[in-house]
Amino acid sequence: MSETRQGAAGATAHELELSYESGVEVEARSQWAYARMRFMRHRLAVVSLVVLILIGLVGAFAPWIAPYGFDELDLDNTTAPPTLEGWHLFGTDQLGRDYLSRVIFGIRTSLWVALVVALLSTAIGTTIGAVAGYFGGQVDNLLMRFTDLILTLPGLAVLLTAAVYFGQDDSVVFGVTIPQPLKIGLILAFLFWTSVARIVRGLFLSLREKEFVEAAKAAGATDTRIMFRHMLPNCVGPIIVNATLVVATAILVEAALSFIGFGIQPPNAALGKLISDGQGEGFNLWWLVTFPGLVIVIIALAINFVGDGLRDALDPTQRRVRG
Amino acid sequence: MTEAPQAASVAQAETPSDEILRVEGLVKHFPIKAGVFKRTVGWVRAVDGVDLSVKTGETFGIVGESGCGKTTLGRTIIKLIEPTAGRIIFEGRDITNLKRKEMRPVRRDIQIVFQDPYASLNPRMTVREIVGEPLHVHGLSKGAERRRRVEELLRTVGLSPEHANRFPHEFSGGQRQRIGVARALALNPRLIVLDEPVSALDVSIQAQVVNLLDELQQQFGLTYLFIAHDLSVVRHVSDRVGVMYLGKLVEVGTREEIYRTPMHPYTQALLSAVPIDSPNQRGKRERIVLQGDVPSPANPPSGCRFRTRCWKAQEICAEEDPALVPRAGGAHPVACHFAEVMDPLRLAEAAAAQRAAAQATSQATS
Repeated sequence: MSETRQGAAGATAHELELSYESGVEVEARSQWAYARMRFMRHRLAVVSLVVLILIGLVGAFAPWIAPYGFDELDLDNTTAPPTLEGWHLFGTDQLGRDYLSRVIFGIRTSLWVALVVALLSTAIGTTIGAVAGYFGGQVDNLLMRFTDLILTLPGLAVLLTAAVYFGQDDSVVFGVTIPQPLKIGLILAFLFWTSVARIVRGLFLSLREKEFVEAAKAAGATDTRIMFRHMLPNCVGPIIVNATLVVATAILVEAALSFIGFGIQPPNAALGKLISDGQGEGFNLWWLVTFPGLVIVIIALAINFVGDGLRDALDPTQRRVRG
Repeated sequence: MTEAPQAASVAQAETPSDEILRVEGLVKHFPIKAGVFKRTVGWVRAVDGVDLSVKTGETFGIVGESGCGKTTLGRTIIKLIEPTAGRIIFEGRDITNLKRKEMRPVRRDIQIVFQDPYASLNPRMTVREIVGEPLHVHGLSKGAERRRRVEELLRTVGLSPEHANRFPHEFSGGQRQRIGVARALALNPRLIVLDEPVSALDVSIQAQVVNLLDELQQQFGLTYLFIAHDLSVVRHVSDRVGVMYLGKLVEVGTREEIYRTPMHPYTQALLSAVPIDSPNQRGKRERIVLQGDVPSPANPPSGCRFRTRCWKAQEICAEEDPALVPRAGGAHPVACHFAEVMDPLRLAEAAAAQRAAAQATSQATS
């Protein structure tokens, strides 16, 4: 430890003794190191994380990985079942587009939308819930009635309207292009933050009365510090679990939106869109529904397991890491 | 706001210089809200006009049964709860109306140790972060220096520096309370409010923590406001004692005055209920059994608040609230129209006190 050396150089015997004594201590690991160790113990979560990263990489590098373009037509080879011939592993659709490539590009769009929704809705919901729960009174009343308002909106109708008005094309705001899938994500996030807000508010209401919060006040800590340093870390479990649920729901809602034609616009591919397009064909072209469906299930499952693992890993009261 | 009862101000004549804390007519009423519109339908008079004065370096004990407002009193004094009325004067400075920001520098001098060692430590923080938090908040030290300071504090309260990286759940109740004490000490405070610091602990651990507090007081010249419901603990630690009933102090005096010559019927009843530790003294003392329950602080009795349970109560008790002033037969202030030293109690009690004192000294020296 560098501090030991400094102590020796700067030299009182007492200081030396101090740092020497503390040398007996069990190696000081950061909280993150402990969290990582706890996470690593959760085998299912680790496997899921690996799967998720792989899927994510596939999505991120879709243009390089996919054997064909997502809108590359081959009208001579339509509705081919999965085959090794021409590397149409997932077959082709009614227009002869390679389905594997479409699924890969679909992953790219869907994951991206889901991520935007999860992060944004969690951020908005957590902030609103935390402020409402911490300050209580009129602030709480105002924010929670607003939350109720959003909650009572007929989700699908609002989504449709918003999608029709804002979500049909890429748009340019202050010179920055906002791609259409991102806009769908933003609209979804605006509707999805309510559950987190209510969860966090509830947790904050009970945490506010805890003595450790009073202790922080007695030490002179600011509201911001108490909220973010003391109370929020005690809410990570439910927040993360909720975020994982949001990811799964976002993919499905985006699918529903696309199904009625207001979500991701063709020829773009998204997992939900692929399923809804393939649905009309029933069991004849089974691969059109099966493959994107499987991918959605895998993603949703993996995210839930990772969420479980994270929740446990971030809770220091879970079983000890040091044996 | 300024209707502090002047008559009841503490009667001891101290020079302001050795007085660290003075509380005048402190009142805290909590609103009772009901109905759809959250109309205030009444007030819980948790603290209802308390005057006290704490001298530098002493331990001032506050005893009273559950719900008498002693915890609220402690929290109001350190301004975790805003007082409804009255004044809090710390080191000659009126801190009653200080804003939160203005209060921050004062908080370096007044700290608190909480009752429940399980709830008062953030389960998500390491001991290092918990003890170092006051230092962080006040920007007092950084990096290696803070590290060393936290380790020093842990050693001061009898923990090992290697405990710094652990989380609260890895400790026992007594150890956790030591962590709480270390946190309170971090800023080198002058006054510490101890809010039932040992009530949640096992009896054997209570002694350890009480002795630790004792040592720390001598080492750092601390002043304690020791709030507890355990009469024996308060007797062991306090120089002076205030007895609280339903939001008011009913009797204030030195330890000897309160425990040997209690004058308020409530104090007498409380003391008569303390178990006697030597079998051959048992049964020789008259035990006063109070009738009924503590009245609701939302609707306290008129006049003397103790009159509904008092065997001496007469008409005047319902009409006039007795002031906390010295009365005939004793030197210390007592809020009772019929205050007197009770003899049978005194005799048995004195004997027990001698033994307890002898025990206390042998405990302290060991």
